[in-house]
Amino acid sequence: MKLDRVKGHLDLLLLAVVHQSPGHGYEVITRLREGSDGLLTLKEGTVYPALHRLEDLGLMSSEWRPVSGRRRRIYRVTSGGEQALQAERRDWRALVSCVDAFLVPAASAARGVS
Amino acid sequence: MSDGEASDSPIEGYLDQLVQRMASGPPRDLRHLLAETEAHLRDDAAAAVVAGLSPEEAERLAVARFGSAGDVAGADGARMLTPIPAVLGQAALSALLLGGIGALAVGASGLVAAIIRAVAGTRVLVDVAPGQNLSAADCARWLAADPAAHSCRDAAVSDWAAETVFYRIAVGLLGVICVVAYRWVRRRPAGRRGPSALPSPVSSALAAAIFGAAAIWTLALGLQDVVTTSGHGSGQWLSAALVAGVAALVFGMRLLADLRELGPATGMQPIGR
Repeated sequence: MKLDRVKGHLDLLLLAVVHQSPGHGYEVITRLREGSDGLLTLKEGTVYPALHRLEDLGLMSSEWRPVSGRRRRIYRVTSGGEQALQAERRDWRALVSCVDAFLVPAASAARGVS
Repeated sequence: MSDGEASDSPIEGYLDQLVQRMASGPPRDLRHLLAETEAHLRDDAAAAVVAGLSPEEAERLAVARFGSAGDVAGADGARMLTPIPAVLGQAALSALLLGGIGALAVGASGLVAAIIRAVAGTRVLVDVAPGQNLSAADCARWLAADPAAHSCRDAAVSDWAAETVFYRIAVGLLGVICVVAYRWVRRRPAGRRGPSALPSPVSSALAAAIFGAAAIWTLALGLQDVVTTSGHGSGQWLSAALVAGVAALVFGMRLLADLRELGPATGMQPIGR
């Protein structure tokens, strides 16, 4: 998948992954890679600034904890982040539905779109 | 692993590059990003070793996947840049705080003025300027308000002195409201950074400059009264000069402490943190 497409939705993806279960950056990146069967490949270092930005916005919080003998920064979604994620999900579904109407002929015909 | 081997390893080299690229950022952000990056790279390299790569190859692969140090530092640095609306918000918040502190200083000068009036007399606080004409209408009003006064001048001075003390203390109460409003705006919602004011050295420098200028100006006016009118009316200026001077000294010392704490090439923390 093209890197630019992933970048445009990185915040939403990170919120969704961390909302499923809090975790440190490496866990989050591994879940993204494995959950997409390797389709979501991005420079892993760019994920950390994105996580920090989400924390600055109050959508995530973090705390340092020892994990497997190493100090790790564990991220979790805040209540504000949950609300933002719900809103982003609604927007995403609306966008997918809209684009599908033009790109998927069968779906368009079923809905009566010419 | 020896120090020599560590410094030559791809991960160590990468972390060195990241430090160099992030050297101008806040130290805490740098430390946190470094700790996260190192933990990530070591985990990734360990997983690659388990998959069959040599330690050296595994580290190179982990570093390659992570992206260039310049990109990572650039992305994190861009996050820390303050956009113009945020700077305007910080300036407004600082104005609220500094305005509040200024108003509190005016209130304090009102208390000092009240003490001068009680100790040295009303005419030391305020007096009719040489050559100043008092209109008959004003005299009638002042004498009506102060029937015990022996003359129009006494009544006028008594009225002005009361106003000087009252209005200054009223401005001080307004300052209390401003400072409380500042604290309320700066409150930090759970899990979120509250809005910040301008960095502390900037606010301290502004406050020291404003209070310093006010202290010099009011001191000059007070000394002028001491010389030309034997001190009559000097109290209104000297009370303000005293408070402004103390405030300028406090903020000047705070500025020096801020500058010492900052040291070379480190980030600034907002005032009030």
